[in-house]
Amino acid sequence: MSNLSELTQYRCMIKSLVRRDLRGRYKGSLLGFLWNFITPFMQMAVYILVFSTIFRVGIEDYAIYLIVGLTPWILFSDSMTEGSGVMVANCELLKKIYFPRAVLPMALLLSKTVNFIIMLGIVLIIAVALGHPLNAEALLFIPVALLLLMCFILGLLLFLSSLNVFLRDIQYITTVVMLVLVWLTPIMYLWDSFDNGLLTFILDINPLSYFVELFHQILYWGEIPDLYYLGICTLAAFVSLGVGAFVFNKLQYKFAEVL
Amino acid sequence: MDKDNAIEVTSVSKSFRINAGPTSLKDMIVYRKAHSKKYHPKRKVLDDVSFSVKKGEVIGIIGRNGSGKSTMLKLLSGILRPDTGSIDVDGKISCLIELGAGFHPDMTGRENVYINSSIFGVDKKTTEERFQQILDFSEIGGYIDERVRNYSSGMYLRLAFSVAINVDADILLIDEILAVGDINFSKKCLDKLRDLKAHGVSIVIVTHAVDMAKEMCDRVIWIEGGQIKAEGDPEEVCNQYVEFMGV
Repeated sequence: MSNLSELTQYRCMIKSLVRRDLRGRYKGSLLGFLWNFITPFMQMAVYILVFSTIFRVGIEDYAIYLIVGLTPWILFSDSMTEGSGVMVANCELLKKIYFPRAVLPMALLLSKTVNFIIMLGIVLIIAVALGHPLNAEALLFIPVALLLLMCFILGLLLFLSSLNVFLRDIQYITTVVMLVLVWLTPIMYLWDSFDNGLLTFILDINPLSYFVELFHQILYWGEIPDLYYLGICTLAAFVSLGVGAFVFNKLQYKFAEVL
Repeated sequence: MDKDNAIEVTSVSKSFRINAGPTSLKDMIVYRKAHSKKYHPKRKVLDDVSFSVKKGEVIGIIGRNGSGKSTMLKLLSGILRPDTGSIDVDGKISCLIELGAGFHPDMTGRENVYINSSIFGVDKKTTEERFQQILDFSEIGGYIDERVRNYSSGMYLRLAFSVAINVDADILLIDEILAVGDINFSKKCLDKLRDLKAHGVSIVIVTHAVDMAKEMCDRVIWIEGGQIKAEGDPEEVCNQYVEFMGV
């Protein structure tokens, strides 16, 4: 508990790290801050192009379905690939200055969330432009869905970033897993579009399926999310956060020694 | 904890595993290094060290290279945890171990002042209020709005020092302070430290500069091989140390 009150004392540090990440990352480049959107936007454009012209998928308003699923996925995968290495990347800071170590993954997640929110805005604009119906009541659930997803990610980040200090391979494994996982989450296709038992089983046990589905329900189907999905996402978020915080607390005092 | 004390260190020991950190698969299989005690021997850096620092007191820690001085500072700051023993601290610590850690080279001096203070746990409003003071002390002047990348190493350190010293700490931990800037700035730093001391700030200085220790400190602790070899009057302890080192 004392850790938590310390974290609130350092919220300014979190804020300024987020600012440093968002503004400092692309400093010196011509397009600067814009790069935060160009990369994910191109990613979306490529998927839309490939799936709507080369491989035809029979989903109505497929572009919307795709970008609605991709937005939370990009938040997840960007946070994971970068966040699993966040302790190692900041080892100079960790070895030299004292601050609550959890600040680093939190700041990283928040800076990715800022990007998420802006992308979400773009998704909404596209949906309106293409005449896709939106349900205002359902939209109210976006903050809930986002909060659950953030808790889920934060737990994983605490877990992976602290293990990565001791086993650097974690960071590279994460990148590979993300490469595979994007195909094992119902983003490019519908959850129930396969008869393959194994694939369905993987989709069912992949917690991210439920998070992505939550966003699909809200934004694509225009429905108030099922309690079923909300429940599973809440459970996943709590388990992840609990395990992550436990492991992180055990390991954090060793960081400065091992790095 | 005694009410007059800012820091209490009670029989603290710390040892490090040599070659700590991740082992590669190749090393594990080919050399079987993974958990062998031979490959990861322990080195005791501090052995049963106890001392205390009173509020408003300036303590010097001297000792040869590798005697455990810097480890002691890192333990005090909370970066490292002691294996055994305890460290009690009353008040907010500012740690001048490594100046300018956390500076972003592509951001301006001004932006970095805010980021750096926030790393010390100071909120934006307080930094704003204190900004002029930091700027004046650093003597950076108009360069404050230039990117830190283009600063000279002296300017860089001066700015970092000014931030670290203006965070309202009750306890300052300082490693080799005299390396900051030119003679004038060093003198200014020492004056500032005296001023802070007069305001009740406790200061722990790790140094090799015996003359400075004699001049600045109320008490000097001499660490040798991870243990306190002598403690007390600066003049006396420093002279013993110099004699011991055979200079």
